[in-house]
This record gives sequence, structure tokens and C-alpha cells, in this order.
Amino acid sequence: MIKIALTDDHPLLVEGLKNILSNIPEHQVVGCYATAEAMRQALQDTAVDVLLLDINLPDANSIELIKPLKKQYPNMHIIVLSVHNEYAVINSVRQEGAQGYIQKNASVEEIIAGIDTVLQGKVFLCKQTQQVISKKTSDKLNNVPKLTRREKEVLIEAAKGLTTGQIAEKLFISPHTVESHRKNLIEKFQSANLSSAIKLAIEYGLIRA
Amino acid sequence: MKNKGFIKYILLSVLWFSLCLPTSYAQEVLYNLQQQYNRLSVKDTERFWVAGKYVQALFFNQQQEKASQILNENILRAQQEKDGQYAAYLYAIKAMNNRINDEITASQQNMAHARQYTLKSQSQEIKGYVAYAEGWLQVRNSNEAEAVRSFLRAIDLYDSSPNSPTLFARKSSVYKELTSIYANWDDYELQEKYSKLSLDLAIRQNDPLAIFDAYMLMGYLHEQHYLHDQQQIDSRAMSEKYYLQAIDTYNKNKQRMPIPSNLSYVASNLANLYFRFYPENYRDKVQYYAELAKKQGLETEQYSHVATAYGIMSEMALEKQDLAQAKAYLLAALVEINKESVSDPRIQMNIYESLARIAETENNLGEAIRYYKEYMHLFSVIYDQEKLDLGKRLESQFEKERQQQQLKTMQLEADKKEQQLSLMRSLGIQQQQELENLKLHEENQRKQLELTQLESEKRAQELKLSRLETQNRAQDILNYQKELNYKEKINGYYIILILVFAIMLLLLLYAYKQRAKRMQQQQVLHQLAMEQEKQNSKISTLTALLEGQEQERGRLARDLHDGLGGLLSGTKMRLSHLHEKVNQSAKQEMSQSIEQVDMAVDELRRVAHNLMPDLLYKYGLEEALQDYASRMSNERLEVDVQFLHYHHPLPSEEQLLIYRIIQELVNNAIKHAEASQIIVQMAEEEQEYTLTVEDDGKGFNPKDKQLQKSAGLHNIQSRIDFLKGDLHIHSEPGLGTSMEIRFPKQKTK
Repeated sequence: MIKIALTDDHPLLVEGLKNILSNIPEHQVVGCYATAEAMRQALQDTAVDVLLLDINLPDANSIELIKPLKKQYPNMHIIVLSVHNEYAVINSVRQEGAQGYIQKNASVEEIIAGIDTVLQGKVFLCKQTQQVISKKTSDKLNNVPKLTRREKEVLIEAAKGLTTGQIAEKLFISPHTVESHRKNLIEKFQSANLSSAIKLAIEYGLIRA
Repeated sequence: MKNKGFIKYILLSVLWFSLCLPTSYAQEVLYNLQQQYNRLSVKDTERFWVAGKYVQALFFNQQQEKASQILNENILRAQQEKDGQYAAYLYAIKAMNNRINDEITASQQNMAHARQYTLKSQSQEIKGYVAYAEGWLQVRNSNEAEAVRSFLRAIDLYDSSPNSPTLFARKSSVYKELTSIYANWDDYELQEKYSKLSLDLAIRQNDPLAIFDAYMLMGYLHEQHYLHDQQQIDSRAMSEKYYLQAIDTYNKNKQRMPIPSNLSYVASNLANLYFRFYPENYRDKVQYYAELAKKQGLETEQYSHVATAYGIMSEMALEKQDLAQAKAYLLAALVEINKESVSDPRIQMNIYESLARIAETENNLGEAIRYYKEYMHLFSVIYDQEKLDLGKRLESQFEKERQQQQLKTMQLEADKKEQQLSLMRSLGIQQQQELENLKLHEENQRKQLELTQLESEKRAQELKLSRLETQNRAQDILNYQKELNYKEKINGYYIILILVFAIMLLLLLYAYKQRAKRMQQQQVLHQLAMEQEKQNSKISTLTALLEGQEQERGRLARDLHDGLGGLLSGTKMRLSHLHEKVNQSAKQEMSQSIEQVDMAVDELRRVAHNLMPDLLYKYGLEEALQDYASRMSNERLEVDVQFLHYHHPLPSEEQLLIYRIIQELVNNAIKHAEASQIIVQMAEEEQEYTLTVEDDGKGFNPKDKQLQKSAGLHNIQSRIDFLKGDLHIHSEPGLGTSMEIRFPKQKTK
């Protein structure tokens, strides 16, 4: 018998989930809590195998609750059930130690599959969440920096061997601004100096040699 | 002439001897003087006179060194005396002694001293004595003319001085000197005159020696006179008379005569006179006086007198053709003359001549030649001497002639002057006439002058008149000037007053302006303050507004998200749960509904996110923007967000403002520019942040005011204002738009 607890302030959703899960054999909803406080009180007396936790609780931010709950009840598996599909939220939830992350508009099957997966000691992420993560990863891999037009102009003139002063004169901007662009470019290319940044820019085809 | 010279020489030598005193007498006198000198006290001035005499005595007795010593001693002492007469006297003696020793320069110097000391004395006698000494020196220096002048001055001075024991002797010395000079000049009259004066003096003095000398002189004088002119029988008689008187004087005063040789002298002279100029019946007298002369001469050792007597006797023997007797006398004469210390060569020469002639007559030729030789020898000696004397004499004669000539010249000159005077007198008359003419002329001129004076007076009056007029005018001018000055003064006052007023006005104006300005400034300040206040209130209002808006949005978003989202999620869950249970026909419709619910959830999420970026508070600007970018990106649009050097996160309200600005800009780029790529770049610098939003869309003309005034840009601008930043838009149609916002870091966090 799998003991499942639900913590969500949304009565409609709680009711719907409770109905769905109760119909599945071996699954037992042991408690439904609308607030973090209520959940904390109940958990002291009730053993729970899987906790489905909403993030936006009226009295607390659930992400901050994950770590203490895991510490207090090491055998309890926590799956975050949230409307949030932002990478930052997902990432922080995972870092706090939650075993699963399921978006609220996910299908019932996904939720059940998630419960089963985490009980096996595995991490479960719903399809939508997986998409968010994979997109982020691909973004990070594609690390060719995007240059503004001004940055390109500065880089081209620097590639010609012009000094800061000469570039400023040519582009009708202050030397201070040129210097700022220079620093920004070095950071963008994560290089030690501007000449290696120029080399990289040529390599990436951002400017022509 | 030869004889005359011979006799004359004897006489002169006798004269000298009588002046210098013979030795025997001299010894006695010297002794007396020495006694006298030593007796007298050093302080007694009488001692100087005695010293003078004593020195002279010493000098002539071959004691010249002692003489000079005593003389110098006394001169030194005499110099201390107030009265210069003693020094003058002694210096004069010294000068004369110097002359005798041929020390001519010293003599002249001492004479000059003597003259100087006379100036310090009133004594006429000493002045006379000094003048005498001067004459004495001049004679010895062959300047007889000057000497005569000096002697005459000496006589004048002696004449004007009171009687004294020494005066006569001194006077007579002068006379003797003068006589001897005139004798040299062959001027008998003057010679006689001074001889007589000398005689007078001697008689007055009652000095037998002086009287004797004077007689001798007179006798000799007349003898000379007779010799010169044989017609003058009177002279021969006078000569005889004076010689006899001399003998008489001697005989009468035998005891008082200091010089016994004088008798032999007069005797020899008288014998000579009788022998030469008297007829043969006077031969006895000749014999007598010759014998007397011989006897007396031998007695007084005046060997020249003896020789002379022998000579005369020899002459007489020759007359008697008694050659042997004559020769014997001559030889005796030769012997006698050789006894004389200072033998006279002429006498010797005459003796030798006579001897030679006698030897010739006796045909004793050898002897004759011997005597002639002697004679020749002496002759040559004498001749040389005579030549010298002759020269001197000629010189003095020439001098006399010259003086006469001078006198004549002077007379001529006087005549000339007289003529000139008469000429001048006649000239004077002419001049007087001229003078009168001149006077007339002058009168004329005077009148003319008067006329001109009158005219000038007239003119002066005219001048006065004109002057008065000018004065009047000057007065007028003065008055006018005064008036003018007064007016000027008044004008000045007016000007000053006006100036003061003007200044006051200006000051007032200035003050007013300043006040107005100040008020204006205050107003401006006030306005500025008001504006500031307004701005502040606007900002605060805006802030409040924004805050309210954000709060409202947040509430709305949460409600939507949690409430509606939850409801939709629940609905979808139920629907999907029901989906299993419905039949196949309904199943498709159900699936569609479920999909629509999903879409509703997505839309809700989008709306909620736009309303309130929840991530911003929980994860910061960068996360929120990254999420925003990923949500905005799709196949046709790439939104890239980059944070550079973002080390100091912005305050949350600024983060929200930035987020909203980016939202707006990105929306604009999507909506209006149809961009395919948007770069959002946030860079932190030292003092500020730079936000760049760049798209590759259509771009626009940034000067298009329509666009700038659009609601979206206005909202952006107000948010930028709130950040105290500024916006730069770089946009060109077809090349995209680049928006750059710079805003400073907040200093108070």
C-alpha cells in the first residue's frame, strides 16, 4: 500500500487528484493539506511514502520546505506538483532534493508514473519539464556570443590594429565607451584579452578577417 | 806815469796798512780787546761791539780760526736778541772776512743775513754800517759804481743817526773808501771833497791818527793833482802844506800816535815831493826828509820806507855823478826792501833798473845784464799784475763813462719828455677845443635827449593811458571772468546736483532692479522648488502608482495563476479522468476540450507572468529575463539575454523597472519591427549600468516625433526618468534599432 499525501491550497485540484489516486490499487491518499502548517502537523502522526507538494502555498514557499522535510522524514519521497515551468524554479527544486517535478497540466498517467518512479528511488520529471531542461542545456551549449552592432564595429576596428583613442575618434564615441565595449567583448568571448577575442570572433564568423 | 804808479802803489799799500794796523800795534790792541771782551758779561750787549773789533783784530793777526769761532758764537747769541742790530753788525763783519778769504758765495749769504737783521732794528748807525760793508764788498767785486751808491747810502744813514763813540770812525772809513774809488777814477774834485770831509771829521774827533791820515791823504791828493797838471802851483804848495801839517801833527802827538811808521811814511813822501817838483835849492830839505824817513823807517821796521829813502838818496847821488854812492844806496835799498815781509816788486824793479843803468854807465856790462835780467823778471811779474789792474781800472772807467752816457741819455730823454710835454700841452689846447666842440655837441645831444625825453614822456603818458585802458579792459575781463567763474561755479553746482540726482536715480533704479531681480530669482527659485516638489510628488505619485499597479498586478497574477490555474488544472484532470469513461464519439470532443484547457493554462501562465514576474523576486533579474527570453523565443524569433560583469544585483524595485522596460522594448520590437533577433544586454560598469536592447527589424527614424510620443515609449521614458538615466536610440530604416539606456548605480542601498 502506497501512502500518498497531498499538499495544495487548491481544493478543486486536490479533490480531482484524490479521486484519481484512490481509484488506483495499492495507492492510498493518507492526507490532504491546504497549508504548510497543516501538513507539518499531520506528518508528525502520519507515515507518508510520497508527498505531492505544490509550490505556491498560502503560508510558505514550498521550495524552502523540501530540505527540512527530507531531513525529518528520510523515507518520504517528495514530488513537486507545480504550475511553474520556469527552468530556475525546476532547477532549484531539484537542487533542494525533491525526487520529482510534475507540472500541474500534466496527464494523470504521468502523475502515477511519477509516483511509481520515485518509489523505485529514481528521479522523475514530467515531459514538459524535461523539455525545459533540454532547451536550457542546448542554449548553454550554443555558446557563440551574440554581438551588438556597435560591438562588431569596435571589434572590426580593433582587428585593424587601431588604438582605443583612434577607434573612439572614428566611431564618434568617447574613449571611455570604447573601453567598456572592449571589456564586455573580452567577457563575452571569455578570453584573456581582446586579440584572442578577435581571433575567436573571426573563427565564429562574426567578423571577417 | 811809471813813477806815479810806483808812488801811488806805496800810498795805497800804506793806506791798507793803516786800516789793518801794523803788527806791533795790533798785538797791543789785540791784547786790550781780548781783556775787554773777557771782562764783559755774556749778557751785556756791549760785548757784541767789542766782539766785532776783537774778531777783526784776530782776523788780521793770522788767527782766523779763532776769529771765526768767536764770531759764530756771538752771531748765535745775537740772533736771540730782540734788536737785530748786533746780528746785522756781526754778519756784515763775517761777510767781509769771507770776501778776504775769497769765499764769495758765503760772503753774499752772510751779507743777505745782515740786511735781513737790519730790518729788525731801528739803529741807523748799524744800517749805515751794513750799507758800508755792502759797498766794501762791491769795491772788492769790481763793482765800484754800485759801491759808490752803497757808500752814499751809508753816509746818509750815519748822518741821520745820533752821535756815538764809533760813529766818526765808521763815517771816516766810508770817506776813505769813497776817496780811494774817486782816486781810481781820477776825479780830483770828489776825491778832495771826501778827503776834506774826512779831515774835518778827524779834527772834530780830535783823533791824532785820523788827523794825520787825513793830512796825508790831502797831501797826496794835491801832489797827484800837481803831477797831473804842472801849472797848478797851488796844488804843489797845498801838498807841501798838508804833508808838513801831518808831520807837525805827528810830532805834537808823538805819545798818542799808535803807528810810529807813519812818520817815515810822510817823510819819504815829502822827500819825494821836494826832489821831484821843487828846484835844486830844496835839495837840503830832500836830504833831511830822506834821512828822517830812513831813520824812522829803520826804527819802525818799515823797510819799504827805508828803501824809498835810499832810492831818493841814490837819485841825488846820480845827479852829482857819484855812481858809486848811487849804487851803494841802491844796494842798501835792495837789502832793505828784501827785509820787508811783503816786498813790493815795483820798488825792487825800479832798484834793479837803476842798478843796471849805473852798471851800464860804469861799463860793467855783466853786472848790467844781471840787473836787467832781474828787472825783466820783476817787470814781467808786475806787468802781468798791472795788466790785471789796468783791465779792472779800464772796466771801472768804462763803467763811469757808461754812467755818464746813461746820464746823458737820461738828460736827452728828459728833453724829449719835455718836448713831448710841450707837444702834449699844445695837444691839450687842441683837445680843449675839441672838448669844447664836444661840449657843444654834447649840449646838442643833450637837447636832443631832452627832446627825446619829452617825446618818451609823451609816449610814456600815452603808454600810461593805453595801460590804463588795458587796465580797464583787464578789469573788465577780470569782471567778466569773475562773472564767468561765478556762472561756471553755479553751473558746476548744477551739474553736481544733477549728477547726484542721476546717481541717486541710478542707485534707486539699481536697487529696484536688484530687488526685482531678487524677487524674480526668488520666484524662479520658488518655481523651481515648486517644480521640484511637483516632480517629487509626481515621482512619488508615479512610484505609488507603479507600486499600486505592481501590487494589483501581483495580486491579480497570483489569483489568476493559483486560483484560475488550479481550477483549470483540476478541470483538466477531471476531464482526462472522464475521458477514459466516455464513449468513442464523445472521446474526440473530450480530447479537444482537454487541449483547450491546456491552452487556457498556457495562456493563463503567460498573462500571469506578464502581470507579475514571480521569478524576479525569487531568482533575480537575470533568471527572470532568461526565462522571459526563452518563453519569448520561438522558431521565428530569437531573444538573447546577456549579463556582463553583473556583480552587484540591482535593488528589487529597479529590477522590476528594468524588467518592465525590457518587456516594453521587446514587445515593441516584436510588434512594430518584426524582428527575428533581439539582443538584450545588461552591463555593469564602475559608475553605471548600461542596458542595450537591439533588434534586426525594420528600424525607424528616431526623429519621428510621432513615434516618440507613442504610449509605449512614454512609459519607458517615465521609468528611465525614475532611474535617473537616459535613453539613446540608434535606428536606421532597414538596419534595425538599438536602444541604449544608461543609469547610475544607486549610492544608497
